[in-house]
Amino acid sequence: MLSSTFRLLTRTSSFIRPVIGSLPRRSLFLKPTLVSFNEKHRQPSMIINHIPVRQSHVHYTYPMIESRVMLVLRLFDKIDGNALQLDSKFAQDLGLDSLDIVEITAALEDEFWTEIPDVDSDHFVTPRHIIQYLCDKYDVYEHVEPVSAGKEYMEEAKAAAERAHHH
Amino acid sequence: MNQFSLKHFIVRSQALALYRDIMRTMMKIEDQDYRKEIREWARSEFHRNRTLRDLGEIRTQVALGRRSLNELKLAMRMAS
Repeated sequence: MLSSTFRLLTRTSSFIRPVIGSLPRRSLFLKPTLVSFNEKHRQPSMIINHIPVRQSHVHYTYPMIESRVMLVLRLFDKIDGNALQLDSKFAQDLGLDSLDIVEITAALEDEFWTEIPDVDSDHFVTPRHIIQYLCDKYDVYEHVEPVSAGKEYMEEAKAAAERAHHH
Repeated sequence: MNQFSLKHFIVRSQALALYRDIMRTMMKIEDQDYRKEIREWARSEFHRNRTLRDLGEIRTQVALGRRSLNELKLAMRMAS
């Protein structure tokens, strides 16, 4: 693996290479980010691990998150697309082990431009958990049935008043 | 009594962290063939050693994996 990169280096005249351009067939180049950067303004000592910035106009909704998560799961080659449901458990129903969960988490991180630590990915048992986790992360709650605080508070208050009255 | 100790648990989470770093690095690669190659290599290595129970052997394998991952990152930096 290192020998092919040495051959690449000796072939090019300088270390500065355009990201999108004519490249050898098996080259590695970084994924274009959402930030559009002008090649003219790039410094010679460019930061290789460019931190991507998420555009603020992307609006997260529950159907969007659900469809993206199910797409990522379907694209995973160890998951049978027909057996995949919202509530199908990864370990029992789909036969995945901890390494596969780590790989799925990495794919989801790549899809949603975010980081999911190990402590959170340990709790992923079904796709529904993943969707709920991402909804919590992006403050999406349109699928949650609203709790009418007024109605229940009135019942509580009435019950408390009854109790106080009878004592 | 379960034969797995706390040290086993710690070493297991280190191995999973290594696999996660490999997967995250793999996601940055654009070339799909090379991505598949890295994934197959990582999967085969981890599955080959999944029945190891000796802590020293596991730690050695994790260290070897770390070194391979650093080589991969270096290769990516040199190629980009």
